[in-house]
Amino acid sequence: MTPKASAIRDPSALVVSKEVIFDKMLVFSGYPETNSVHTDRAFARARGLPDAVAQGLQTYAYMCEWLVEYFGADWFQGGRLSTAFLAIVLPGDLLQVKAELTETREVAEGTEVTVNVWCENARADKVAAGVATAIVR
Amino acid sequence: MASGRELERFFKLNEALIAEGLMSEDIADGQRYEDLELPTDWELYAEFRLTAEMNELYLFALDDNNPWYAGQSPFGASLAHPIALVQLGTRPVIKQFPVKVPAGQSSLHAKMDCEFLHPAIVGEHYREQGRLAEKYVRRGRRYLVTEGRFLNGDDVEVLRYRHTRMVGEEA
Repeated sequence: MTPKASAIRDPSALVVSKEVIFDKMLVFSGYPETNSVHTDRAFARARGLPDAVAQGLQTYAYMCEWLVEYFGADWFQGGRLSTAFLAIVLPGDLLQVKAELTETREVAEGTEVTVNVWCENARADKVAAGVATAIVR
Repeated sequence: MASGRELERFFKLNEALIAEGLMSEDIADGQRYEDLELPTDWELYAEFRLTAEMNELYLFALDDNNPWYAGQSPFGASLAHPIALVQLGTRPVIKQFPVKVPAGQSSLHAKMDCEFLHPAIVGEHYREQGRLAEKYVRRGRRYLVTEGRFLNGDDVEVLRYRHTRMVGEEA
């Protein structure tokens, strides 16, 4: 028995919120390795950046958290996320991951669900945006 | 708020991972972009066991409290955080293909595409194969695409990714 498309949850009701904390950027990006724009604030500023910048993969991980919350165990059995990184993320930024449903399609294993998913900062600027697909079984 | 002791513990783990070649600094020098020949063959570039402590590092760094990553999951044992294999495994591939980035410019992660094909379980052994897949120029910017795939101990492909970075502008 596969879920009908009408049983698919509305993704706009789910928001994952994150505060980007510099100490945690350090842990994620390999500190005490330095000479990196992700872990060394002076190094980043010397390269014209306003501060150290979070790795794109950190934002990608926040988007994955949203997708796991939405798709549950199905995410780990064929989920796919394709993302473009659009703007830098700085320590102290408040981020929110949001999504909208774009397509549902019945397939042999269940319902293939496609969402546009993005991560935006407190100014509502998208810092990353992409498309995710998983089969809801 | 993170305690100093917690941070110190994860910084030490980072040091150990870097020493194993799993994470390393960005390389901004190497072959000229024009001279890169591709696609390269798939090669084995990393091999490691994903420990509970390595997984915990990502849960801590990302403030992700999903209980499936630290306790029982729908697949039985604890699941690897989706980003754990990716974060540990992208640089071992990238550093195989160092490219010269023009002075005053830096490389930027532009796009990421992952397929989570099969549950990755904490405590399992993983092998990563990778290759330099593609290069292209768009709006004067030069891009490089590396690909990786992770196999578990049963040779099941659990994760495949495509990592695109901008490596400077055309002269």
